[in-house]
Amino acid sequence: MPGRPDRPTVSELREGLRSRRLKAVDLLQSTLAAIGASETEERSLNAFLSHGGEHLAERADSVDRSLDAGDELGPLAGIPVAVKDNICARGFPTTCGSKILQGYRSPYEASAVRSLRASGALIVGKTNLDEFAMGSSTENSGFGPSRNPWDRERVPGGSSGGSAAAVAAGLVPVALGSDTGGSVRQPASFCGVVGLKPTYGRVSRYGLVAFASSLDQIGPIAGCVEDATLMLSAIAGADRYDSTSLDARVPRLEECLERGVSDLVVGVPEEYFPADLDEGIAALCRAALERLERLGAELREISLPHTPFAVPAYYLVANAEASSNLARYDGVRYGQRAVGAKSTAAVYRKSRGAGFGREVKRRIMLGTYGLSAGYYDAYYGQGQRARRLIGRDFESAFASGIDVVFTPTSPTVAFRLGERVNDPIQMYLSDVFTVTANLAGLPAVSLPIGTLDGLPVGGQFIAPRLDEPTMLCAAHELELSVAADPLTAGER
Amino acid sequence: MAIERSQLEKIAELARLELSEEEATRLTRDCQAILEYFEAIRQIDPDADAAESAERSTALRQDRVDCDPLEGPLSDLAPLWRDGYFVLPRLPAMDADDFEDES
Repeated sequence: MPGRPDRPTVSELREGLRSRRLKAVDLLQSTLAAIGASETEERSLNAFLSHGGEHLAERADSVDRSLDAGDELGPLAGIPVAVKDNICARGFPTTCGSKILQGYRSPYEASAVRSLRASGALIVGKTNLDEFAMGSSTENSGFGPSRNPWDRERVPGGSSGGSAAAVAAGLVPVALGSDTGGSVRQPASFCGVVGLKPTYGRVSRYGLVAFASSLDQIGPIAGCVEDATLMLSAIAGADRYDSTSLDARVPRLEECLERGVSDLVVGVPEEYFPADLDEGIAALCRAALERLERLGAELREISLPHTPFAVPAYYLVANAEASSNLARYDGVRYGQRAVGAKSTAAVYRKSRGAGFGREVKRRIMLGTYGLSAGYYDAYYGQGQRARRLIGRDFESAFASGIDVVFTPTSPTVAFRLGERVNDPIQMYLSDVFTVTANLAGLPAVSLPIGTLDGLPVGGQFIAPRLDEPTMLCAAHELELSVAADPLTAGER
Repeated sequence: MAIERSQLEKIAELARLELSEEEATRLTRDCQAILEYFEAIRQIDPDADAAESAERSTALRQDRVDCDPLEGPLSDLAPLWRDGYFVLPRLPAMDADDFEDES
């Protein structure tokens, strides 16, 4: 939350750097020292897979010299940023949390990372994730699970668990994640930070290793809504290298934060507040809605009737796309090659069998099954159909005058390490409130709305396509209200 | 819809995945449970989205090749590089009489 002394915001760091009370070189050194120390402590967070990198100190020094000279610098000049390890960044390996890509270095850099560097950011490391971003706990990483800084016996969520844990622990002020079905928002919720999934196409996917191309979107994880907004401003926009990036004007997002919510209509969908929703989470959501009402927003109950089909639709579509996207990891084009195979087909089968972890294999199998002759219409076809209907539900709600929709981010707080690894359906249900925004291509943001049994709970806003300004304004207002008056946050 | 072990083995072959005995047993069980959970999706009327399907078309980009902005010469990334080509270890099938041999 903003103002925590051990976790300064980007604005505070920027002010420190500009006033020269803080040097970029010192900020970089303390960041790298903190990341290094976090790896050696007992029950390590395991948030980073690589950190440091060449020329970082020189770049920080260059920021200091420019600031000393009074030069005008980019909005993120000297700010340390972490990047999820399925996003290619110069000077770092890109493993996707998979043994099959151990040591792989991309010949090109993601457009989002380029944009961050152009804004002056210093990329300090790559963060842990579920293998190929497939998971909701970071336990599927080929390099060990990350831990939740609030309780190290619990998961940080996933798949961007390393990024969320790193920001929550104050190791970096902001990080990039990727969100295919909630992979930025659910870990943000579990770790008590802000996670933003932009409109599909708002941010270039060039250099994001493809999992499910029609759903994947890069998004920031930050300590507060303002920082997430700054990050989105830096990475949003059309990109000639991603034909699905949108050629839409990017508004001045920071200026939109202060608009207030007094003229907003907030939709509260009944399907996201089922009778069996955890009473503590429901109470915190009700408290958040009361805050919005006190701030002048109008609350309106709505129905998004195809929501019950969202989880199966998501996993059918995402797995189908994954089975195709991951075909390239065959030990020849990409990936560690198995030894001892006696035919080309055996090279593929053995390399993939040895290189992929359990969940990735499960999803490739389900995706291949859903696309295979005789099952295509029943599974993939129906998944796409449900996806269109879910998109239509949202369109109807927004057309009826709803400006933003408010829901819980996750049906639970962070669960214990190991609690769900052997129950894939329970793991998939972690995403029940987040997958719809991906299926419909809508922007969504999770922010902390209180704690339950000492663990953070997130609330989610979902907005019409390209209306990040309204969504971020609502999130900013709610965040200020929660920070000013945390006592009424509905502890049980 | 139940998935049989033999179907699972066929899918693994299509997906080019070698599975151990234990993995195949576990995956058969997991996939059965997951597919059972996915069954709900079959309740959707296949004509329910007819209007949407007709309205929406896929956006197309120009059929133009753009070069990727590489961070350095490709040869720096290759374990072996000769005459402008990556040098790969010889694949076993190149030595085999029968390319379809799955041994």
